[in-house]
Amino acid sequence: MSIELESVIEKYISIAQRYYNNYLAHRDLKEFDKASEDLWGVINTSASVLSILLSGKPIKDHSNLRELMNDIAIENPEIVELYKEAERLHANFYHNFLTEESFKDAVIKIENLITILSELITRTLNQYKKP
Amino acid sequence: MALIIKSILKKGFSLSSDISNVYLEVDRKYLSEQYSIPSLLIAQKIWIAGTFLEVSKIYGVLSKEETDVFQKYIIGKPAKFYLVPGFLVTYDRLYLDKASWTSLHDCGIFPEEYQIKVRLEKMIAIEALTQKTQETELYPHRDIITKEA
Repeated sequence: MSIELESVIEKYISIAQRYYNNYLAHRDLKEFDKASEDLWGVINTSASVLSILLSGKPIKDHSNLRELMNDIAIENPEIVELYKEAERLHANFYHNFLTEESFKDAVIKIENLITILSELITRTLNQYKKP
Repeated sequence: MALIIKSILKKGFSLSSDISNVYLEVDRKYLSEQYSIPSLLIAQKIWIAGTFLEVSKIYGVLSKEETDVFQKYIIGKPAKFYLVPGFLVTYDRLYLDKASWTSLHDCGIFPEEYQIKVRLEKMIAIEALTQKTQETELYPHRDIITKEA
């Protein structure tokens, strides 16, 4: 992997970490609308890392994110429902309709999606390392 | 008989080493919905086999040289695609396998510049564990031509 690619990926990973820390802070303040958008940011930036590895380009817009999720769902069918939950959190930022209880339920699913994305990133990075 | 589609060639994601990152799109009502493909996908890979029918430019017309080269190396030749059903989007993506993409690539066909018409004749489902293959003819009684084609 080139140094440029490595530094771009590092940049996106550090943005994802920053969004995740923001999520924790907003969650603790019970600002669930802002916490929802922070998690949406984590999904977007994590997906950008995967997109860079799979296509050379970061996610450019919402429909591009959907396309990536659709394509990786073929090997990970649970992504379909998890991603729909992520979109619901994104909508919650604008409309603030989730109760604390439903926000917590959504977070469990989003944590699961983040785990799947992290595993896919690790697996794809390992492919790069193969001679 | 078959499903006949026409689509712009687009660049997507590199999903696997035996598949190119170039794909065609087809409204999912013609393929994955009609053939209930999402429910078939448990531990199966689905390939679609067909034939290249036509190459054209999105803007402008082909030169005589392009027409001759495409006629010689592409038209009438077999095409094979890896199917990614539209789980979250309204269309299915048909990723060209490496050999099919090489035949287009070698003729100087570029994604986002050219569109391809293909005849999709059969669906081949391969079970991941056993490698057992099941073939299904697409629209065996009449040609279905999508509105883009």
